[in-house]
Order: sequence, then C-alpha cells, then structure tokens
Amino acid sequence: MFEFKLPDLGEGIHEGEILKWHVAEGQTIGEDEPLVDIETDKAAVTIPSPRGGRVVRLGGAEGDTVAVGQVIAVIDDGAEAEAPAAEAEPAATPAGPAAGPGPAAPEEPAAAPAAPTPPVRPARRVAAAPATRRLARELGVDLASIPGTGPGGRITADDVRRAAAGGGPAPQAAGGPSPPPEGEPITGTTAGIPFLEIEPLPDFAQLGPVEREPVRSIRRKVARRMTTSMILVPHVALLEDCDVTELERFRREERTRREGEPGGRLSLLPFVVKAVTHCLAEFPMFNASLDPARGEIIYKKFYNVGFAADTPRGLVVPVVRGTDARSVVEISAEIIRLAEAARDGRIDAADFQGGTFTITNIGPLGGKGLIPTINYPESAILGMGRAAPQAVVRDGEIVVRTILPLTLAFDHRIADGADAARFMSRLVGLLSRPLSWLVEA
Amino acid sequence: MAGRAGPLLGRWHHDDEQLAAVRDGAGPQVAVYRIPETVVVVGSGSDPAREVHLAQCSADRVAVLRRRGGGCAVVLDPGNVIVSIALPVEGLGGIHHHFRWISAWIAAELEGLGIAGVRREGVSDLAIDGRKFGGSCIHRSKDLLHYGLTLLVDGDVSRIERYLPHPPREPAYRRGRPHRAFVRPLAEHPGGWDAVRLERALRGRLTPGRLAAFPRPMPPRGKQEL
Repeated sequence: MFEFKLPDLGEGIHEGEILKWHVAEGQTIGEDEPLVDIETDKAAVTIPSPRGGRVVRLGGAEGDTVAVGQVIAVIDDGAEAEAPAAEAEPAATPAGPAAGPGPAAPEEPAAAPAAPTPPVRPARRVAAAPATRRLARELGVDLASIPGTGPGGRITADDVRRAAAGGGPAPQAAGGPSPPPEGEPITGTTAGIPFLEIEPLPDFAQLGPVEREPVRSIRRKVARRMTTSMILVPHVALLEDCDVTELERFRREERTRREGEPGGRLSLLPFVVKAVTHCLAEFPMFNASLDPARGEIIYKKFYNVGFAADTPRGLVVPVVRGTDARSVVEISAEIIRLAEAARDGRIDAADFQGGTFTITNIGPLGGKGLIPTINYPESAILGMGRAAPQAVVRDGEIVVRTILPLTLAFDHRIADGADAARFMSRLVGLLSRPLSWLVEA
Repeated sequence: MAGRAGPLLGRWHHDDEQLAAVRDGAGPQVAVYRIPETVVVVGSGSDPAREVHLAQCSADRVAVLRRRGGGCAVVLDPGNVIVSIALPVEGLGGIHHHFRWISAWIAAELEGLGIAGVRREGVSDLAIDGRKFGGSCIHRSKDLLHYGLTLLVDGDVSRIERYLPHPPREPAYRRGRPHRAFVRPLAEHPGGWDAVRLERALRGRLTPGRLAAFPRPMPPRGKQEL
C-alpha cells in the first residue's frame, strides 16, 4: 500500500485546490498516468501517479484544499504497508464497483455546469494514532470492533485499554457522532442529537430563478468549522461598550508621527490585540481548549491572536504569533503584512495555524456590533463593532465620547459569566485608559 | 469579430503542437501569435458561470474556451499578443521560479523595445504604473512546464466589461478597481504600439536562445526549488 503525499511544488506554495481527479477509487492507474489536477495561484498542475496499482482512497473531493505533504491518494501497489501508513489504511475496500468519475481525458471539453461527482468513499475506516494501533496489537484488541470516543470517532488509547479489560463501550464523546464524509450530502436524522432532523430543502426553483454554486475551498472550510463550533460549543456572549476616546486620540497622533514606518499605519486592531494578550495572561480560561476525549482543559502558555480578514476569496483568519513579545507597532506591521498577503492570495498556510484566540472586527465595514462564533477549538472570540461618537453620561453630564462596542463570546464549558465579566472589565480598563499601559506593560 | 461557435465550452488548443514537440524531445519552444477572433478563455479551475457573462457571450456568439493553466477568465481578441512558452523542466516544481524568471525576461525584452516601467505585480501580472496590460498562467505536468501570457495591446477594453464580471479573486494591487480602471492597453502608453507591430517585434526577440541566456533569479533564502 502506497500513500502518495502532495509533493512540494516549489517555494511559496504550501497548498492547492483539487480541480479534477483523473481516476476514481477502486480503479487502476498506471505509473506516471495523470492522477489529479491541482490549482495553486495561477498555475494548474497535473500530478501523475508515482506508482501503478489500484486506487484505494482519494484524499479529498474536487474543490477541497490540500496541503503539501498531505496524503492525496492511497494506492495498492502490491507492496506491504509501511508502518506510518497504517493510520490511513482503510478498514474495508469500497463495496462494489466504483461509481465515481471514470478516467477522463486530461483536456476534455470542460462543460462546467455538470456538478463534480465526489469520489466514492470507502466504508467506515478506523481512525487511530499509530501508538494506539501499536497498543491494540500488543493487547490483542481488534480496532474495528470497538467504538472510538475521540474527536470524529477516533479510537483512543483509553478505548483500547477499556476493551482489553473487557469493559463496555465508553460514553459517547462530547464530539458526538462522526460527521458524514466530506462531499456526501447530509440527509435524514443526525443520530445522537435528539430532535435534530435535517429535512430536504424545498425546490426553490419552483418559486423563481435560482443559481447553484458548489460549496468549495474557503467557503467549505468556514462552513465546516462554524458548524462544528455551533453544535459542539455552548456559546455565551457578553456585551460591553468601551470608551476609546483617549486611545483614538493617541492612535491618530502616533499614526501621523509614524507615517511611512513599518506598522506605522496604526489601526485600532493592534491596540486591541495587545490589550487582549494582557487579559489572556490574567484569564487563562480564554486562551484554552477543552479536550473532550480526555476530559481535560488545555491551557496554552503562548499567545497567538488571529484576526478575521475579508478577502476576495472569502473569510480567512491569519494569526499573529507571540503577541505577548511584540510591541503594538510590531503587531500592526504583522497585521498589515498578513492582511495584504491574504487578500493577494499569497499567504502561507502556516499563517492560518496555531491561533489561541480570535478577534473579528466588523467595525470598518459597518454594523454596531456582532455576536461572533468561536473559532473552534479555541475557547473565546472578541467581536469589535464600529467605534463612533456617542452621547454618554460622565459625572452627571452628557458628553460626546468615542465608544467601541465589544462582544466576548466564550465556551461555557471552560469559563463562566463571572470570568467573562472580569475579563471584559480588565480589557475595557486597558483600552479606555491607554496611559495605564505605561505603568503596567 | 465574434467567434465562430457558441459560448460553449471547448478547449484552448493553440499550443498543443508546441507541447507535443517538447514531449517529443524538441527542446524549449517559444511562440508569439495573435488570434483572429474574440474568445473568452477561462482557467482550468474556473467556474464559467461565475466568471463569465455566459448569456452575453451566447448572444454575441463568442466562444468560451478552457485553457490548461490556472487563473481567472480573460477576453482575447486580435488586439492581444499571445506568448506561449513550453519548456522541459524536470519534476513538478519551480512554478514561482518560472513565473519570476520568464516575467523578468519578457519585461526586459519589452524594455528593449522602448516600453519602459514594466513591473511584475501580483503573482504574475505585467503592469505599468499599477495598470495591468499582461496576464499569465502556468500549466505544469511531469517534466513539462507551459507558460502562457496575453498582452493587451490595442484590444477593446469595453469587451472585458461586456463579457466578464468582477473576478472572484484579485491581486492586492487591483484594490477593487473595475476592469476599465485596472487594465490599460499598451497602445495608450508612449510608443504608439499596435498588436501587429508588437507581435512582429517580439517574434524577433522572444526566442529559446535569448531565454536560456537570460539570468535566472536566485531562489529565496532557505528555499530549495525542485
């Protein structure tokens, strides 16, 4: 069994979008015959199969993004599986003849209106880490015979030990049932969630003209992550107004003074990133993740703050790393670099990874405020509305101040409303009295 | 002049012989040509329903063709000069390296013709003063690299708006500008170029030998090209 990983396509290219499979699962491919077309930037790459054999599994549907080094196909070339390949080895081969697209001529007329046919998926495959597989072999446990309680139904070492001890099945993991394989339609009742029944959509075309667009690429990723977050995480949101009059005055002065310097194009966001980082250090439950498989909370001792960016390709969340060790100007420079790279489609995949907290700033686009969805598996997200002059009461007088609406949405499994109130109070204090940073920072 | 057929999706075939020659061991190939009609050409991963006003193409009987390389849709007409380069390049890598190298070479050759201020913008556009006049794409298969470039010389910019909506993705330097504000044909720059004259001039300069002699860019530090 041979696992074919997306090869390195040269500097600066870390991922690509699957345009077209030239074979379907279950079909035979010859060495060097076209396997898949991948698009990256303005280049399309026809990748040949490095081995001949039967295609056991394809590593994604058309429209999916795959990273360099990710397994894109498993080919049964008659050779024994290498040890690391065990994790991706399917438990069963596809039943019956493959129904996916047959081998297509590489340059067939592309009548795009035909919807892409997703590759046929094998029956359930056993997901477990190599160490877990090794443990199962040592204890004589058949992985295919036990349920997994890890994320997505993954079998954990505890599941194996429990089975070896003759124990019954573990309670359902907080992650719930495994999601249907990507590319397959979601129909019927979703097992495990009472009353959740996804009914077929009405035929909107009967009501008027419609246009259908496949959920691809970034849109697909956003849909998957947001669904996971909203189903899995009990969200609570705390709203507060923050007086940023002094901060805005200071920011404008600094922006003028630093014009032309790296990061000198100061917006409100880097100040908020810095202030949030202070708060995360004081309130670690908002820089954490809950591991349902182990029943543990993971507190991260590093601070990587993501920010939601609207790009021509959709919503992305680049991550500013090590915000505790960067100045506001350095954070500003990094935000500008990441935002421009994201909008230009030049950003590295690594720049989207490793976030511990996210900020979404809808203010410049309009909207008084928003209740954001947590960027799973993080435990909290901050929403920024539009900072605007408002009439407020100070010392019994009505005065005009610049008010920034803030929303903290958090995972109620990890934190309580009182924690959020203290976090928000601290954050508002830092942002409304910027000179206090001189004392504390 | 409108295309002979449809809007309906056919394949861009103008470079087939060149690619076959490289596969047969003929070595690097460079071609400079124009086409006699208006067509819309979409990238290999493009969704024509999203990137092209298909109804307008249908009404005008403008063909929509799919090329091998990536990127978004373009409108080609006799006012465009097309440069097609097929190279035997080992493996599958080197995409950005070749974008940089070939773009720099073509910019230098254009400078040699007196067309000044040509810069590479975005991934692989050619622009003067932030206005695009050239777009390129690459198709890579094992041991073969095909680079395609279209130069807007005296083409009709209004046709771009007629057949293409705002693209679904754009380079940062475009900054949301509509087609008319984003592209500027070479004919509007000093030099009085027209497509026929530029095609003739480039045929004398864009040759495999001159490309081979053009210095390759250094890869970024710490990065290894395949």
